[in-house]
Amino acid sequence: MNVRKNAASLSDAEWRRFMQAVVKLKHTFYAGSDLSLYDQFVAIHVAVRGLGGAQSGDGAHNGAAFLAWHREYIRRFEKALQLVDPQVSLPYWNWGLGPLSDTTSLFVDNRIGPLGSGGNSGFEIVSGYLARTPNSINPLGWVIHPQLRVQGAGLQRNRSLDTGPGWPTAVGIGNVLGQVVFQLFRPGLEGAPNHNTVHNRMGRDMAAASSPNDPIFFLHHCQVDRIWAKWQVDHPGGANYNPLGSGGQGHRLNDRMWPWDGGDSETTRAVTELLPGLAATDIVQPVDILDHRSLGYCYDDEPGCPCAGNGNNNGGGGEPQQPIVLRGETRPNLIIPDNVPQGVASNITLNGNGSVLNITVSVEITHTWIGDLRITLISPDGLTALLHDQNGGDTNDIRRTFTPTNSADLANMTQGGVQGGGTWGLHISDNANRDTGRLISWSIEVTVSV
Amino acid sequence: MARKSKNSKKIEYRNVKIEIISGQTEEAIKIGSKGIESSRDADTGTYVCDELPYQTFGTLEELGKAFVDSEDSD
Repeated sequence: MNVRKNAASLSDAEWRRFMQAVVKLKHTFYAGSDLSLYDQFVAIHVAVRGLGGAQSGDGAHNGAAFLAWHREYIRRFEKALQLVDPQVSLPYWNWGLGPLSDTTSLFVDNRIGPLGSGGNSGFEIVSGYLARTPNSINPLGWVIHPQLRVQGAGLQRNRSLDTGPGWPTAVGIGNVLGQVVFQLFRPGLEGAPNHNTVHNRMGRDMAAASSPNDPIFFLHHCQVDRIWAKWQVDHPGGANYNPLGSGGQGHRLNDRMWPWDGGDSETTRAVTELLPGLAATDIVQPVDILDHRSLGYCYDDEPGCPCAGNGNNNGGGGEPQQPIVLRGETRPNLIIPDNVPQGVASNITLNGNGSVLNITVSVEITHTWIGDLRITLISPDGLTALLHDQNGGDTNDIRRTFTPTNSADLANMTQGGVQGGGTWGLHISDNANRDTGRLISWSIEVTVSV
Repeated sequence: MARKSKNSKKIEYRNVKIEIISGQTEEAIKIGSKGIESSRDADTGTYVCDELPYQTFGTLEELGKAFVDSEDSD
């Protein structure tokens, strides 16, 4: 069980591991692209505000699914972090319910970073992990993806955080928690002076639809989720999720929530090419995630949650064992025979031992109709992961990185017991006639436990 | 069939023209010549828009004025 802790209570070592995992996601790029795994999360949040198809409008805000959608969203982010460092969990920013020091203590270089103070805008973060310019604590820097910027390339926050009147209070949150009806509880928590106010008072990038550009977004929504979890204790059961069934498609108890909707809807926002490819079977409904503990996490102050330091939470102990990353690449430039299901195969041998914690496979294929193609990764043990299954229609070429985040089969390979060392195979077949292509290159990066 | 009526209200705020169009089935707001896409919270009925994603407004007029203020502060 993951234990999500108060961010103000994390040790310096826990902060370092958390922020290093965040920075790692920000700097894990798709081959030949400036798009990172972190950026994909930002793009999803931008895209969900404008949906078409089965759903219309905003699939995640100002409606019943606000809480369920963000629970799933930050849980996926947490799982992505755990692929980098399995000992990391999301901490929560204890605004409103804790002392003011639970807020003020976070905004320092070696935690979530300072408020805005410089750069050309006068609002940019200029030190710590989130500074645009590389520094000793983050030698890679933090630059917002060009298509996801509203302010500038560097992350911006207000120069001061107004925690005066209008800031969330324990009394106010208590009143929200006292609401018996979900339709009153949800907007009370989402609107001012709670969730919305925190976004707006952080200001700048946090006040925009692309607010997850600032990692404090995830700590903020962890607190929102925690308050919902508290409310659910007093109002258990699916019947208390929007019991009247009001709201548009995507917001009701048994609706599919975009983007985990099997392709029922699509975004109208101009970020489509930044979104991860999700399997059609990757479907999430609010009813699936009402019980947060069944999702594998709890909050450090809730009854029955394992206390910190017992070895199965977010790392109350010392430094972690460092996982080892095994890498290989090849440029076979193989012809993919037209309409031959037997296809072609290319192998990469990785030297090392250990169970797979994470896998990244980058593929470069030229082809005039990628809907003809099926791509399968084969582990040294003979397990298979179907990476591409004749989708994409008449689109040309595949230049793509597959990860456990965008491939359910790869995610399965990280669940334990799969050996990372040995010969990995990539099998490609063309299953329709006429259009042809080549496997130009592919690479694999496997993180293994030692 | 009776024709549905539309009401249009025009105001000027900080030298910017705001037009609010209210029909039986649609509502729209224009700031100057720019149309602003707005929607309503499913439970409270308050107005929201993409440009000010974490704010809600009791009326389209309030939304329009806040939009003008936000443009001015950039």
